[in-house]
Amino acid sequence: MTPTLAPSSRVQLTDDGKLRHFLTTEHLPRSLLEDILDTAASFVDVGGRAIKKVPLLRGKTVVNLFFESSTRTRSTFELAAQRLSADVLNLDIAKSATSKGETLLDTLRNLEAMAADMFVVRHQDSGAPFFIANEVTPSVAVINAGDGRHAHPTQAMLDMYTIRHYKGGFAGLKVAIVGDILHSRVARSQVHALNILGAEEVRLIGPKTLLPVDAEALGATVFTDMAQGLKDVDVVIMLRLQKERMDSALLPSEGEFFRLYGLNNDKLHFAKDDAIVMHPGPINRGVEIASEVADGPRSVILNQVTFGIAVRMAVMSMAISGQDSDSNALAASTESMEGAGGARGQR
Amino acid sequence: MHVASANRNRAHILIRKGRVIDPASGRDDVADLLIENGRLTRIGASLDAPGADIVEADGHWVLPGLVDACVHLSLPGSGRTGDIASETRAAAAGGITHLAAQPDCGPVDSTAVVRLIREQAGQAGFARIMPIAAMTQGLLGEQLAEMSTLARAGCIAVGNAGGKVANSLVLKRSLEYAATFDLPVMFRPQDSALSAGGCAHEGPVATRLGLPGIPAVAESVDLSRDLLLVEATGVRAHFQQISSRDSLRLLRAAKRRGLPVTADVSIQHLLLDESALEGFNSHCHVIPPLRSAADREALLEAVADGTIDAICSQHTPIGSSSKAAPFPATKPGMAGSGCAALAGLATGQ
Repeated sequence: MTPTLAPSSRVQLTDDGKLRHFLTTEHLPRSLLEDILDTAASFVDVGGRAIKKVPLLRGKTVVNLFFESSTRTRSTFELAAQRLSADVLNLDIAKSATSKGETLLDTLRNLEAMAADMFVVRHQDSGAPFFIANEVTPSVAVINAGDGRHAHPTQAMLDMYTIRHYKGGFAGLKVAIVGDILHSRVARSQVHALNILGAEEVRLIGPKTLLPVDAEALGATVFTDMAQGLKDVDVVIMLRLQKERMDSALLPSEGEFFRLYGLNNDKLHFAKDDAIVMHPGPINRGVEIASEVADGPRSVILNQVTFGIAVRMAVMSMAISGQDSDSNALAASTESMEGAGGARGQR
Repeated sequence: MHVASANRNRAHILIRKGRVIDPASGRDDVADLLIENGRLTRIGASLDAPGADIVEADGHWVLPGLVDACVHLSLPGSGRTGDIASETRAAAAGGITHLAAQPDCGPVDSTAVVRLIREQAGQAGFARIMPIAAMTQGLLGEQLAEMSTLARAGCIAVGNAGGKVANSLVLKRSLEYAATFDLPVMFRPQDSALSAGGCAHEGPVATRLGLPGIPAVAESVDLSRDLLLVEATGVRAHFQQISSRDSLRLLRAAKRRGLPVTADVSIQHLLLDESALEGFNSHCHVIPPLRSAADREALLEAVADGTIDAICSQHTPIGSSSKAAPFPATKPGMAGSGCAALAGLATGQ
């Protein structure tokens, strides 16, 4: 732990450590991740009410900026924003402006001109939400809804919520993440979050073609064999296997992958008896997970979706409140400077 | 023309008490230099030159004009960022008087392009450009370029500027043809399949940032094939922008075998490593990518022990808009031959 802030934290946090953007789980303080989970807990009930709304984001405009198409993640963000009473604008950029030659920066300037308060960004390039967060007006919050292979922090936090819900906490937990680690932004964000929250061990399991070089540098132990990797784990997280992986010489076939790494009841026996099974969805039955497991008693896959809305509500409301406190602090310091010297010009 | 004659008639210049470094003569001491009519006439302690303009250089270095073995020009290609005048002015400001320019502007595969480059550099008058000719037509890696004609037009070497050569047969024939005229060949080793889609060194930083990687073997695999073909054809070869430890091992062995090979490294790779990419710093998006700290250490050692023969700027004229995008979407390259060469010298000292 170095005294200087990591570059990601400098962007994500206000001077007094509040969340203003949510771009990655890496390097965030444990207390902040716990805050997200606690805040989410207070929102879980909202979904069960007759009127499923709280007024925290009333009068705020949330723009869903999806450069990569996604129905599921976008819908949960949309629902989360609506339950917080925000106005929501959905932009499917994959099909619009940038394909007409407009640069990302020009697109951003146009959206800023519409007085948005928050951008929820999904982009195919790793680091795109960082670039956007560095470029937007300081008062606009940026939430990363998945960038390249880099991060998918809200997915990771809903997974943390799920784990805490079923396991009571993180101390002593062994968690295995299985499958296409190389291309997975979900796995990266999960590893960071699990380590920060105090899990005992995070394991990555897959064939070497789907494990990134120096995967240990993420903060995990690496296995290529399911029997060893799943031994005595408390949580098994299966990742979705994209069909394209067969075309680029990363895997020979779905069949061989399923035989080696697909989770069925036999392989689940290696884990602890009370181990839970998770998956960020959408699942490929018979490729990375057998129906007997996906629909079985240990699966908490559908509960993850429910918690996802609450976690996204938590992150959105915290980032907006961080932004508001930041601009209040800025306004206050400007006023005091003007009061002291009157030197600052009107803008 | 006007500038040149003005130079000839200007007052004599006495540069006093600078640290005079001249590798050609082995000189490195504090001395005075007298320049008369644009020519260096005397070096010595406490020179006296009545009427000369005095330049006090105490605490500064006085160097011969530097040669930058690898720059990218943007003319006569797109011409959108910088032109030959601005590029050569920037180089001269950094003490660079000769620039070996990569053939990827244009491409440099006809005498007309070579003439255009040399003419524009001559008119600007800041530094001399020594063009490297395209080895294959259009740098497409399929048919031989007119290497002999291009050399007669003023090209000092041939190369394919990192462009893919179709296959080993075309490469072998290109080398044989270049060897016919004793033309040196400039290689930029990087296997195109192993580097496809990558934008960062395949290592812990790229893994954490989720950036598609270019492994170090992308360079050394290509380099080992190149070295075998150099040996088979007897061509003189210069390897540019060496970035990895494994490549240095191959180069050392080749030099030990007596192959006519030299190599350079770009200043970025001596000063920075993969950690510079933290926070998705797109200014450090360069090809070959900034590699590990261990690679950087090895490169510094290789400069010291002579395995690497030259440090170059790998200057790429690049507008700020080319860097204003998410990291993988930015244009690779770094501007700045101005200060780069001197920084390189400082690193070597």
